Amino acid sequence: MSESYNRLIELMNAWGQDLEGGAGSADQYRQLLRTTASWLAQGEGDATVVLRATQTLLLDPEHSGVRGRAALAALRERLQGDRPNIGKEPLLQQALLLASWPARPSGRFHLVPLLTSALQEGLLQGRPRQQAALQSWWEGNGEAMVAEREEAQAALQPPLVTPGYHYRSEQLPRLRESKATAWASNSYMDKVNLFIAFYLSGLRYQRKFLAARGWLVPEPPSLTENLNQLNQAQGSSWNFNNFAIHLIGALSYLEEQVQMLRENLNLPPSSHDVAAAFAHLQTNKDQPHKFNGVSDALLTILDWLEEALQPLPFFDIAGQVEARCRARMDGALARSARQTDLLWWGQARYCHLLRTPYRRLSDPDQILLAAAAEVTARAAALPSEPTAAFLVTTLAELGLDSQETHPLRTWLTRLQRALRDHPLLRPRLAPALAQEISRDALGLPALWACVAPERPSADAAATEVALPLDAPLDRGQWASWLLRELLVLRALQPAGGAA
Amino acid sequence: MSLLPVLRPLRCKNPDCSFPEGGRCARAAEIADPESLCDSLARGPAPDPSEAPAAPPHGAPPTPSSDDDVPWSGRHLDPRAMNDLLFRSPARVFGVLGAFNAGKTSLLTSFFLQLSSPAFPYRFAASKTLFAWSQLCERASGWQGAPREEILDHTPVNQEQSAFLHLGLRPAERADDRYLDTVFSDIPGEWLTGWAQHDGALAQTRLAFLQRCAGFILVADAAALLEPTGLRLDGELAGMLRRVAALPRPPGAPRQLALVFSKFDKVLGQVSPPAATQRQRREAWGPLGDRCRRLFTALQAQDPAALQVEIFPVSAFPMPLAAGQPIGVLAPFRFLLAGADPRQRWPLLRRPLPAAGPPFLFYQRARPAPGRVS
Repeated sequence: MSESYNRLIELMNAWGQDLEGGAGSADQYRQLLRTTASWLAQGEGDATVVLRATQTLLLDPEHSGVRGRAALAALRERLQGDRPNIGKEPLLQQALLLASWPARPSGRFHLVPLLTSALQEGLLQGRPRQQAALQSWWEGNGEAMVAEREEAQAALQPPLVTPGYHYRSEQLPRLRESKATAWASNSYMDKVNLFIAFYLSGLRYQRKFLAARGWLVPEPPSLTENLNQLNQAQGSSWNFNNFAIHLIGALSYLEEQVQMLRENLNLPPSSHDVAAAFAHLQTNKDQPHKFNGVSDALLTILDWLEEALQPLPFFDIAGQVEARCRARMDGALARSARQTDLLWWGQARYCHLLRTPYRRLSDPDQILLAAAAEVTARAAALPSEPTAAFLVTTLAELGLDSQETHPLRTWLTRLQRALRDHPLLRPRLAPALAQEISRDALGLPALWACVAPERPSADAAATEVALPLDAPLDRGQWASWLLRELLVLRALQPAGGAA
Repeated sequence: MSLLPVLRPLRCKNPDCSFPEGGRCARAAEIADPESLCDSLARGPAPDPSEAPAAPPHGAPPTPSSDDDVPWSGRHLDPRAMNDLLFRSPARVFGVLGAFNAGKTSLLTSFFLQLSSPAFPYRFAASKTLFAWSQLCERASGWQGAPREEILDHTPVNQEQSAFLHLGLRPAERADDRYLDTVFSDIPGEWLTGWAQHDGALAQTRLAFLQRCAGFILVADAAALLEPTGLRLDGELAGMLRRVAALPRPPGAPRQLALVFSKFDKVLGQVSPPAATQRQRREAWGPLGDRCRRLFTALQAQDPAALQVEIFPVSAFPMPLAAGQPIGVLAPFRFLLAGADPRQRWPLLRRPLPAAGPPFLFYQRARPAPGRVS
């Protein structure tokens, strides 16, 4: 909390205010920060919180009627108990939000980049002292684009592999079977040797993993040496005695390490009598004709190893790795399918909503709206900015000039007309969402138009969306903006309510 | 006397509504004309003048504000009230500096009287110190032009803390629907002279607000500068300028300082105001420039990236109010507000890209060149 309090002081100083010279005490500000942080924490699962918090930050405190906006009311209701005058202090509310904003936004916070088109397209004006803090906030949330962040992290992270896990799981029953049905000690010992190698290399790998987390000392060089000797001894010629010495050495080492790990982790002792198995192995190592008994002892040790290693957390990593790999694979396949679907849509240039090729549509506003709606349906889980760029490229290929520039007011009026003239393209808004947008559409002109396309003029939007409607935007910017808002709409719709 | 119903103040039951204060109706999305259609909105009873609170004396701290307070209950804002105001909006605080009898309060009063001028890009919207402005204007209107008579009372030197005058402004351009809070310091010249000579603990406490100022007006009495004691005044003004330049600066654009040669009507016989492009040259000010060597030297030493300075010849009250108009009063305020209220659009943001990552992250749509605006 002291970190956010320091951040609040830093922000207020940069904005020209003296927190300590104000009406509140340090304890009061700390309480306000706690309340704000707990409200923001709800944003992980509640999109309305993210919507209102983002709108509060985009709001220009100098605009008329700021205090009456629903965007501010959501937080104000929480803070009023601690500071009755908070309703009159939008600037303080903004500073509290910035100071309490989660360091690692997740969940519904991924909507922030979709809600900040006004910032991205350069429509926010003035506020010279707040500008740096707001840009820094936006950049922090830019990373919250879930798909992009996960892709980037996955690309940077090497996959975790536990050597031999699958082999051991599958081969241990076969080894037992081979021992019982055939007398082929050399081939049998091959398999045993391989098992030991897998255990040793797996243990070595896990030791590195654990050592990096401060669990174990690094691997002693004797283990590698032991394994090499075991390989040499097994060789092609039958020299069981020599081989058994190294085998016992390797198994003893494994047993010692695993026991130590289990003790460290307070795991109960294993049910297998591994000490007796080791004693048997030691006694009979010079008697090749007692191979069956030796191999029983070996199997006991291997069973014990398998059982003893399973509950260890690092061994469970194998399962995690498998699950992660599968999830990555599934995600990549699903993403690839969506990307292919989007590319196919872009190549075919067929409007599924209107059941006609785009070339047969003549109204550029209808084309833009239909294309944005269709891309939204295909790109809900794709990164938004490349998708917006793809939409603009496709529109250009459909013959629309992406650099044609009009004031925001004109784009808004044209969108309203397109929505009125083509009811099929009108997104269906859930009543609760429509009500939220009606209460305050700050920074969301396209959603505002979707809620009220019947309004004859977009002039009313100047107050509603609190944006400079005379700001010039080219068609590419407007198409990207429209797409972001439709993606917001899709994300906020209850299941099955999307257009 | 009761007010006509249409003149009675509007009140709305909806706590989210700011329509009665000139803001936005909370149900604007549903109701096109709130004044005639909204059932939550009604005209309240006229306020009873006999119940109006008596104005506190000059320098008295304003009473704590509540929702029901009229905004002009205090004569001046004290530092605490000014700080509270800064929590509400990014108010622009301007430090009005100058020696005793330089004409600081006269300049502010004259500016207030000129606010309705079409030459000024803002219009009056509100004031939390309306009573103070009203008193100043009333006092100024009583001046009949006698040269030795004071136009306004001197700001009392015995007040305990800094005092401020507040102005709420709206851009004259109707499309710009904003409300700007501006605050001007009204502090005695003796404090500032003392601060220029020695930046002691008392001065630092009293003048702590200067660090948060968006701009400054340094008022130099042109007539006093040309008097035999003018050299001393020149040194004091140069000291003030150096102190301002040494103040910690908030990050961002440079601050503005308007150097105002006040009472210029009294020196018109000796000094001709130079053209705007020549004002930064000391020589262009003739004998006044000769008297202000140290001030101009201090000016030349400023870093323009930290402090932008412009010089203005001004006469706040060349004649009695009923007989004439002030000269050049709006220009320094226009200069200050142009710097403190920039309205340029923010640049298109570029999302930071990770050093390593999938190739599509490196794609960014370049902003196309601006085209035709219909």
